[in-house]
Amino acid sequence: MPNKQASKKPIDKGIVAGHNGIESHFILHGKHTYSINAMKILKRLIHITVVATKGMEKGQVVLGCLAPHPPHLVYAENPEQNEPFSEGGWETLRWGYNRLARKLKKIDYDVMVIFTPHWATYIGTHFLGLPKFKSLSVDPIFPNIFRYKYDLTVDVQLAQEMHKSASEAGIITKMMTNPDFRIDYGTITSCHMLNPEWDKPIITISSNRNTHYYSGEVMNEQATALGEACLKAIEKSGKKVVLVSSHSLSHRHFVTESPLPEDMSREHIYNHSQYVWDMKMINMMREGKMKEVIDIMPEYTEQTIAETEAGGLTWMMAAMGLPNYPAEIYGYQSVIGTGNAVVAWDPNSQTREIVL
Amino acid sequence: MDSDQDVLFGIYCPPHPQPLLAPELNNGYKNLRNAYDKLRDRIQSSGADIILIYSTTWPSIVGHQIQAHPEPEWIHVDDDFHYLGSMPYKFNIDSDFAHAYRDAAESRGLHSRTVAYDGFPIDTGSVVALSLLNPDNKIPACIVSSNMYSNRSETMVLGKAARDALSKQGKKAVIVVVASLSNRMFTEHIDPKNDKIHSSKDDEWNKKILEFFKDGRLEDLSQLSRDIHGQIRIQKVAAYKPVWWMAATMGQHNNYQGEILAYEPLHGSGGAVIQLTPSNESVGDKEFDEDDVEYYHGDRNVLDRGNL
Repeated sequence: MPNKQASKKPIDKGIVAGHNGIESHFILHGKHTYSINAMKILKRLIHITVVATKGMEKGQVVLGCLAPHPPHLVYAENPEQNEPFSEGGWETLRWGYNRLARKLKKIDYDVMVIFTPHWATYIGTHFLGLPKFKSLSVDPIFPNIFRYKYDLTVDVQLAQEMHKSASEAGIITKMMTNPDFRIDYGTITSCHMLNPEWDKPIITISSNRNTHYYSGEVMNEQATALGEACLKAIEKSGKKVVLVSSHSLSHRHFVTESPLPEDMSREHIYNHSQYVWDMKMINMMREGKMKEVIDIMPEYTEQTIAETEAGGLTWMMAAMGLPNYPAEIYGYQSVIGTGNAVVAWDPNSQTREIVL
Repeated sequence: MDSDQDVLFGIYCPPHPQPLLAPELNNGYKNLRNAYDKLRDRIQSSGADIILIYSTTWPSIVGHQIQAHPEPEWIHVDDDFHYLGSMPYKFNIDSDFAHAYRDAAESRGLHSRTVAYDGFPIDTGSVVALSLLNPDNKIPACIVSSNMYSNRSETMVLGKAARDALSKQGKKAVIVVVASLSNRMFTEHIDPKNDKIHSSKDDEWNKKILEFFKDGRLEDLSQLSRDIHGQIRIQKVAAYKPVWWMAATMGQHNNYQGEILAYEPLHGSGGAVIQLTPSNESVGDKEFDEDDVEYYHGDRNVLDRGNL
């Protein structure tokens, strides 16, 4: 029998809830309507609308992060949540991540929205739709290095708003409301490296496999539409949002592993052509040519089996309006042969830095 | 003893959760469920020592992973079909065989390792197959992954390593290949009552494959795998590999008796439950020009040679 709880449709509480206190004001007014005549109600509603419109600032994306998720990085950090113990490794990436995490501490934001290739969906785009998830994540590929106990909070209200906005834009969508659902290791790795304290709610968006089903070009179109729809929801919510595109660049792995995974004498890019393509992309990011990056994305993805195939970077760039300012480069390094870059896009020219 | 007889029979079945979680949604799902139930009874009375699963929904990167946890236990939820409900499981895994399979794979040049971690995410296809085919865990099982980069040679050698391990341990096996036929699903949510194969082309290819299975032409299907991959498979991995593994494990010939117990759409993909039993009859044995690989020598380093 289908699980009735899991089958339950998500409840859309609408946008006048929570974040800026409007909900309680609205509900209080509703409770007293029986004693007020119609004209007074109408005048009051108009007043509330005007106050709400003036009081609620438009939501915005305050930072976009390209945040690769090899579980090796969490393994190398040895956080208490992860069971295996390491002797370190992949410092170029981890130190870059650490610096970006320090920058994030200085940024005022409400929620981190992450697009992950490791929640792969073939039937539309799915959004996490329950407020809490607590469990154990074991990496199916690298279980020897990643067995992480997570306890995270989801901004369900904004997730529902994004779901609604995307659906209105014609994108196939689904809220995920099964309490037994396990959060993917991509989400956990990227979020842990960016915010090890886990003191902000997150939203995970699944990756629809358009590249496999159709082509890199279709993926670009779909991910762009999703990014624009998510931006609309963010603006409407009044929230300050950090976007996270969780993936590597070139993505050809070695199919063997050294006895000690963190043995850095064994680590290098899978082949030189992957490296050259990755550098081409990073240089364009550094030069603020994100429209060009998205334009060549299908070819880049095909040539390097890049994890951009999932659509994360395209989604994030579309939601950020295809930045034409320089990206902040925090580091580039290979992990089991794949090319990984930690990069950020800061829309605020006052805080934007040249990092590397 | 003919080593082919280490495998009592083979099963080909789909990875989707509908037959387990929601057979009532569609007569086709119910037919698939009935087929699983029939095979469950046949397995129970077969005298098998082990059920060995090759699952296309367990991708691996670092070589070939083999489940060795003696009692893996979890509540699994599918990435796409989470709204159909949860799949609690607790399986009985033959750890000794898992280690023997790893050793046999390494002896044939493959990189392989066992996994035995609490909470390891067993994939949807394996959970569905084991829950339906072996619900009481009466027969120990083992699961092997499908490496996403591997191609024909590596997969054939992986299948032969399974035969080596079965022979060495003197175990009789029922092998289970978990894979769709055509694997293109509808990309929108559908009313299950309206489920159908995604396209006529997919349906025609599926029916041709089923003809081969019905005639017991496993080796012929193995040789057709590259065509099948190009024609009706979403290009998620390097190749359509399940029949390669099945043929290498059961025996690379056409001496089988085939039975199609069900063929139904699963959100557009082709789901078939098939039994293939070794027999003395053969349909149209042919010679093929692809190497019958015994030992895997690794990458050929074509790119590096291009620089010479």
